[in-house]
Amino acid sequence: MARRPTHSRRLFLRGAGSVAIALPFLSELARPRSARGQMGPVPERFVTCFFGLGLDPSWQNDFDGPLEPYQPFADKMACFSVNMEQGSEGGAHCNTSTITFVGEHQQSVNVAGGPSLDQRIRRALDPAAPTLVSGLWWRRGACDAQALRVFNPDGSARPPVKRPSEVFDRVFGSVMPDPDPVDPSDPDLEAERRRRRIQRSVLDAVMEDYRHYGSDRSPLGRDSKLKMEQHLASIREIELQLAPADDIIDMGDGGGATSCAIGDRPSDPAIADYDRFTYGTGDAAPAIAWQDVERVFHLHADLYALALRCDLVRYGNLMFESAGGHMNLSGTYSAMGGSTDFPGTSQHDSYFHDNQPHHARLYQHLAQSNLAYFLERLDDPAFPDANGMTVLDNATVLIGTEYGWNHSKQNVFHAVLGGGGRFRPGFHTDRTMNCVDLYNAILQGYELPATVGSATGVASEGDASVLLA
Amino acid sequence: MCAAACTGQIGEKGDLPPGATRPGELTAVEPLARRLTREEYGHTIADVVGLTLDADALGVLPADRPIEGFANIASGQTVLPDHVRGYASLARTVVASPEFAAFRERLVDCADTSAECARATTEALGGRLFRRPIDERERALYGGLFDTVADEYADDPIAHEAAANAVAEAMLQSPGFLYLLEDELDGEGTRELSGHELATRLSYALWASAPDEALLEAAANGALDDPEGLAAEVDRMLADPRVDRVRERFVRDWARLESLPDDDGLEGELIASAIAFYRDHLAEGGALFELFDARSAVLTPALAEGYGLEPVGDGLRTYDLTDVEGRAGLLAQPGIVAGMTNADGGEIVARGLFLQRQVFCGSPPDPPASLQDAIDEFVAEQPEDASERDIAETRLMRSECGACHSQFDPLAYGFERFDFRGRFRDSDDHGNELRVDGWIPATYDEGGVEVGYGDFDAYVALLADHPRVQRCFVQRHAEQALGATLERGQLSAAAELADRLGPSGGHEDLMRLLVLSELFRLRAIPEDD
Repeated sequence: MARRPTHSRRLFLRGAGSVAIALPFLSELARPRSARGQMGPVPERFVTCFFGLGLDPSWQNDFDGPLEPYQPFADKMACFSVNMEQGSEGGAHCNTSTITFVGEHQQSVNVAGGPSLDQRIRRALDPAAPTLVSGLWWRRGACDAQALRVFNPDGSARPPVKRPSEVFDRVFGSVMPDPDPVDPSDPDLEAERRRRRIQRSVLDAVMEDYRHYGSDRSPLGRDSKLKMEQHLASIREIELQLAPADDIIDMGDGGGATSCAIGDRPSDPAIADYDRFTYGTGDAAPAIAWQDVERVFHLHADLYALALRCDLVRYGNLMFESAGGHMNLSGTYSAMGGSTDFPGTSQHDSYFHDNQPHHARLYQHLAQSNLAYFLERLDDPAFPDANGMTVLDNATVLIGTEYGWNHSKQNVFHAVLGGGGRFRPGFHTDRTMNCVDLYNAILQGYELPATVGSATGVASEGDASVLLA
Repeated sequence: MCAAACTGQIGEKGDLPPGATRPGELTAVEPLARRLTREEYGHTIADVVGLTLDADALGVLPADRPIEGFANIASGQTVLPDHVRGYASLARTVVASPEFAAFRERLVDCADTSAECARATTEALGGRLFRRPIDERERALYGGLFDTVADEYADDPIAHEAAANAVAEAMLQSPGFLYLLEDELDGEGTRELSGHELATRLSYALWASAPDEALLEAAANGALDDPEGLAAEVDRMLADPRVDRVRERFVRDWARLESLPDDDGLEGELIASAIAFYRDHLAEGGALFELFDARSAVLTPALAEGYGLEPVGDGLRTYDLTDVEGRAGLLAQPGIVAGMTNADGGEIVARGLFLQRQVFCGSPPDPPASLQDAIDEFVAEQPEDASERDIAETRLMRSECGACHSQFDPLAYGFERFDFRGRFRDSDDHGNELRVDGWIPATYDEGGVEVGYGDFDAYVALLADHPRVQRCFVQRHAEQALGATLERGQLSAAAELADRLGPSGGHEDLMRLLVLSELFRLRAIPEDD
């Protein structure tokens, strides 16, 4: 029997034609996550936040109306009122859903004309960086696009993770203590470690194969290569779940830092018919107490903030509500010197069809209040990044919606926060511009080509350079 | 619901009527890398490894959701972390099974960790799982994995088994197994598929599964390059009962049966009866286009009662409808009616849109957003006890609605005596007597003539003989077989197939014509790569 020289796993990787490829080394990934944000450079992070239905232009100019919850962030926030493109496919709210945060004409009702801005930046800066899409997806069932905010380069969507418990499993499952931990005194310890090493080698081979098919050496055309890249990106998102570390991960505090103390897996709030909140066009919206909505969203916001703080997520979207504003809220909500018991129909129907902007104004205050809660979590000085700044200061957060007032594609509210000094904060502008102008200014802030809109011919309507520091 | 300016309709890119073409257009498709559907994954493992994965086992994979067209059309497929997790889990399940151990032992005739055996093992597993011989790169990659795992076990007697299993586990998650891949950069314009590429297209088109060893052998020895050899293989495959899988798959996906709501506990019976009608008619040699007006139904007792028939026995039974009016053909099967009614917007609109897309291969535009208020207003002003037909005719009279609705609403008029679950009725819930007269709009007629029908039986007879319906039906079969949406010049190739099939051609004839055609055997090379 002719045996060849022994290969270690690393030798195997080097010998498998992958010399020029930067593999995500296990040691890097398996390092205690709490330490990553503390010891290394500050990571690039870009997150979009979405709320549905839109704001009346008169509510966008100050922090006295529905934007009041953002008052604590007034000097960190650049506010815009942009014109949105409207696609030809899908009814109202569907046909702007695939354009918000994308800036290209839709391919079809649920397929965008290009990547969302977060994915565009991710692809340019760090294609292996993890993405999280989560939040409240409840919608009326005219189209999936109402609940889609993050799109791949080919326009296909990355749907939201719906329940807080699912977010927890997806993001933190790989770094939580092993449910079947290796006992150092176990006589089978070495067998378990060997099993993990083999699992890792299997995954390395799989990833290398996808890497090849997505590379310049691939026999595939552009669109097929993109599919291979997307498959690889999906593997990377759950890499440690698929192949646990072959060493026991110390989930300590990362050298005294408290930034990434992961708590227990959350329980999803007990809400009747939780999954029924996607309902058919023409059906009555199921009622839900606004306090329940807030409870679920706060859990999502807490988990998203923790994931960013722990550097387990760098790109994606947190959504307060799907496009269209179809939640039917109940309970008394008071703000801005007024109150409402909500009208017993969806916000969309009372807002647009029953001409009751009073309810919509309070509803939007609730929406902004919840997004402000997320900003507070990111801006907590108790959990600074390695440079001493808050996550909100270093990361870029783009807030936006799909419409202006009453299905208008004009005056669509957007706001930019953070950005690590790239952007000028603390202003409102009434300059006329298209969403592509704002999205391209953001790309320029990252020193990336301002190519949003070019793929499908969305025209510039102004200048957003006021954003650039 | 109504819609205004009817833009984006028949005649635009990707939506030429069946048979139309533009000069100089290629008739070959250029399929993207396409992922096995959940169903294809299960069939492939069953046929290659011998392990049957039940619905629970396959349930670790997300359900296939067609974004546009059939679930196996590559352009509509996405891959999510849940897919990746599912594939990893299934790979471990497969490799740990006794069926896989038997498969491995049958395939590999050595059991040591020598270089020779490592190579033989890797090549044998790859050749079967990737449906073609592995290349040098793959030999190095998976050979390296074999060695790494073998080294972990040193001289342990299970070293070969552990190494081979690790290689198979990786291959089962790799592009070569999970995706149907073709060389997309070889040549310019169009090219003949290689033998192994053609074998894979054939097996997934005719069996929804991987090539068997005989087909791989035919690919390897060049038999598929020879017209007689290819025809012989196709005949062999068409005689195999696995063809029933693609018959079942077609009607299930074409009629959107998987998305039937669980309203009354009958969705399983609705699906099974529709599939059985289509499959049995074709398996028994019935002509493809006769499906549209065949005077029979396959029903369970509950469905028979809803159909106004006296049940004749338990389970699915075939009912002769020769002397029964108003219920003939594929489109009248309760499951098909339920599937076409399963959408927002009222029965006539939902059915009309289905018929326009799936029977006439038109592409209805979505209503413009600017009309949302007008739509709501229109709905609100209709009397509560108005019949669907009355509402539809009122809608056609409104200029902002009629432009588009005139192209699909009348297609649904003939179905008014079926309720949303396919039950036969004479009047609606408000006591309105139901009309079934209607017309096929002129836009679907080559001569531009509107063709009327007086009742349902006359309507389905018209459909069965309608050139556009026949070409569309063939187009949809071809799209599923190829895993690609046909457009431009490919449509004329599909239309030619329909014409050649003729009124007496059956499913087997269609599939033979299709897989032997250039549309199937050639590959177009993307221009921009």
